[in-house]
Amino acid sequence: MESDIELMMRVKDGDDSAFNELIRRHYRSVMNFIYRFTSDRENSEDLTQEVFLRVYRSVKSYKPEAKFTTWLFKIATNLCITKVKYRNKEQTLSLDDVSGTEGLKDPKISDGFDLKYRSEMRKIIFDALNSIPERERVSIILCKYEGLSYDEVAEVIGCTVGAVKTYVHRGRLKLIDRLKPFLGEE
Amino acid sequence: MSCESIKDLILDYTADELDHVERLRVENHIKDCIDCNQFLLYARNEWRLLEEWGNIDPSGDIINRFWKRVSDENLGKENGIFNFFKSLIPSWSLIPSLSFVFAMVAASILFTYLSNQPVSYTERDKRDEELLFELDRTLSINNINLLEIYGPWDDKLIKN
Repeated sequence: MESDIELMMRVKDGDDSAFNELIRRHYRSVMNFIYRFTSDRENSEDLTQEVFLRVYRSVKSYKPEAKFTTWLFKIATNLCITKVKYRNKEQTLSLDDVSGTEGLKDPKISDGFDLKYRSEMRKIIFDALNSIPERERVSIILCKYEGLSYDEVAEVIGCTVGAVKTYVHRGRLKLIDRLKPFLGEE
Repeated sequence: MSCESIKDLILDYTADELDHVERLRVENHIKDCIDCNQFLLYARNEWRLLEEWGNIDPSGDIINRFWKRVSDENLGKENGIFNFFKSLIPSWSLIPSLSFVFAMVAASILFTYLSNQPVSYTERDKRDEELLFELDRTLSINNINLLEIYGPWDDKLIKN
């Protein structure tokens, strides 16, 4: 199987079909990353398309110095931060605004109770994640949900590995504090 | 080892990021420490709770949608306002001469506008004018006084 970098080099040489393979490989993870950052499913699709569009537009200047996924998540993170800041200026979007349509599109959810439970849990987790600083949030989402290593996260957010570890630890301590009512007692 | 430093290790323990030695260190500590035992429970549950927020799947044909968007944006660029003005310019080599003509036209419009402006005198201008008259009068009187040393005018000389 061709590596991401090999595919990018093919795209650089004008072979657009290689970009289809990159979309197939990474679309879902980028979309889920954006979704967890914004908690807005419809916008996540749109923003994911924009991330890939930016990748496609900058393919001419692409240099295979870093891992493709870290570059991809770097673009996604910057886009998310910009869009969330812009959205916060425009309006305060509540999760309730989107939860109604969001769960219905998920084919895995069929039971009404399950739907309501998942929707509530999603809101609780999003609120908790949203309450911690940006860098801590990005670090946790990338480590926990996207399975990136500390080194990769460090490259994405442009800091040292030690700093990422600190961000994850600090963020998790805050999450434990905020989610305590849902974490149960012994 | 202190409870504070163990807490950092507990977070890594629940994320399964510790080597064998460190795992044993944590397990030995929590055997005797109720607080850290409780913290381990919270940390483990917090890490599991985050998994409750499941993944979503993209809807529809993502690849076709992507390429449609690319072509839409390319079309938008071609029809953009910048391109409209660009199409008006026949050649980039004409830009210096067009700029010169534009600058000359702008300068002549500015000159015409400024020369048609009505002149207005302020109080200060009037005061300055009076001062100049006063100075002129004073100099004239001084000149007459200085000429008096030659005596009165000889009318015969003027007639000749």
